[in-house]
Amino acid sequence: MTDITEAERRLAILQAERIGLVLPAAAVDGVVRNQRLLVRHHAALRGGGR
Amino acid sequence: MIARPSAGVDTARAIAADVRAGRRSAQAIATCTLDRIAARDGLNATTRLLRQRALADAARVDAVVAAGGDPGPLAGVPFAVKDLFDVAEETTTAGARQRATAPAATRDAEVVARLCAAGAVLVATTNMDEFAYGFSTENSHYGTTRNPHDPERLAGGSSGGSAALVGAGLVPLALGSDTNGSIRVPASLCGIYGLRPGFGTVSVEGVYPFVERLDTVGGFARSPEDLAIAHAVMHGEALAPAGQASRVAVLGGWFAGRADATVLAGIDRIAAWLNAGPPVMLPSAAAARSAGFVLTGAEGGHRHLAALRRDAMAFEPATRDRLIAGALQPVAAVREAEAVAERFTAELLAALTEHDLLLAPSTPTSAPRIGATTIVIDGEALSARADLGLHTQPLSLAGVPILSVPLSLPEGTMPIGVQLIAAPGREALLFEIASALVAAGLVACTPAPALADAA
Repeated sequence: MTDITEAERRLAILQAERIGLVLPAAAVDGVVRNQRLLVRHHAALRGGGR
Repeated sequence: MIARPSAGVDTARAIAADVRAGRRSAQAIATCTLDRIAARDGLNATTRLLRQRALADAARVDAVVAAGGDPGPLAGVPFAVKDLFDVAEETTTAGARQRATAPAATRDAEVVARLCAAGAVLVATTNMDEFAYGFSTENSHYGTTRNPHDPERLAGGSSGGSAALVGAGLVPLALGSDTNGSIRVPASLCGIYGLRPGFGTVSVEGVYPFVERLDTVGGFARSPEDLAIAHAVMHGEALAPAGQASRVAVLGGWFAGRADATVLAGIDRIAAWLNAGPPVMLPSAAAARSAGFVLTGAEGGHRHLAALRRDAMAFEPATRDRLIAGALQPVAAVREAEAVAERFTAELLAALTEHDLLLAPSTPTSAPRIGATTIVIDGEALSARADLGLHTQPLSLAGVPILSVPLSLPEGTMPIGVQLIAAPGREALLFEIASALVAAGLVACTPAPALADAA
């Protein structure tokens, strides 16, 4: 798995703020890792494999 | 190290027969059970022992017998429940530290009340993944539950404490919940029987919810007959007749891949004995697994969103990060997942109009080592946590009854299970087929380890 980028971290923090959630610093990388996994599942829903 | 097996363990049916006939006292059985569980605290399977309640309930059972009455089909049978079920005067923690100070439940969950009304004696609440979100029962607040057959390995989850107690031979019956595989996965890894009933068959009243569209409540036992008795009690009425099981098939495609040779060979043996026809392919199975993943994250995340806003650090880190990522998913992805779930359900129900019974692995492998991050199957690295539910998760979407049965394997082999899948309302068929497979020597509960090995 590639390293998490600052852009990914910033996006996760912004997305969380939009639903009223202040993302704790300790959670940011874990949330991004789970988002990456979910993106693969979203692709699989459309027959994109996994 | 695989633990040495002990002598036979009493079944629920045998215990109830003895208690109803006055040959054994429910109080003595409860005391012995509580002491044995306490002696095995290295398993970390329980969150509390309910000694006072158990002894009082057992005394009531003995009093009914002494008065010439019948306490019920589960007279004096000790059982345990996942710490997700309401137990009167106890706090339902759902495996979460933040719930440790929540108000105590005012009454038992419906299924707990029904089992107790049938004479069963509740002795313990059991460990689980926080909020039932996981397949490993690794809980940073309450510890990791260890596999009764090898304490270096996982018991599976999220109902791992209940499965470990039954697998260890400490109770003949325990309850869990199954949203994506949380009964079937630990049943497979602990070498016991575990039923995910069909939707609406067993009440979830008084059970802390996770993903309501997928949540079910079911039992673990060491024999299909015990599970059938408990299921009938929880269902509240006699089960529909089993009917015939002349049309059997193995699920192919997604369900025939990413599984180790032991379980696939076991399925082949069962299929041959049942004269199974050609494999059945469900075209949407791979997408359905992803649909289960997406829907669980979304609904679970939104269920806990208010608490995450209030104090995200109160959650276990792994649970917190999964829940937040789940809640952040785009609505379009959730809608797509719902459409896939609907399509897959139609495919499975169509297959079950043409077949009485379908077969699939319960887990891709036997229990991973505690601390392992990956398992390798056919050269592919899979997650040692999330991918334990590869074969259970898609099937959950359809709401059909599924029984995980333990394969009969040579002594010293870690257990693994097979899913028996039937149409809605055909739980009785699953129990009958499982009993026939036991008689044929193809399915067997893994012998409970000797007490001294795990001390």
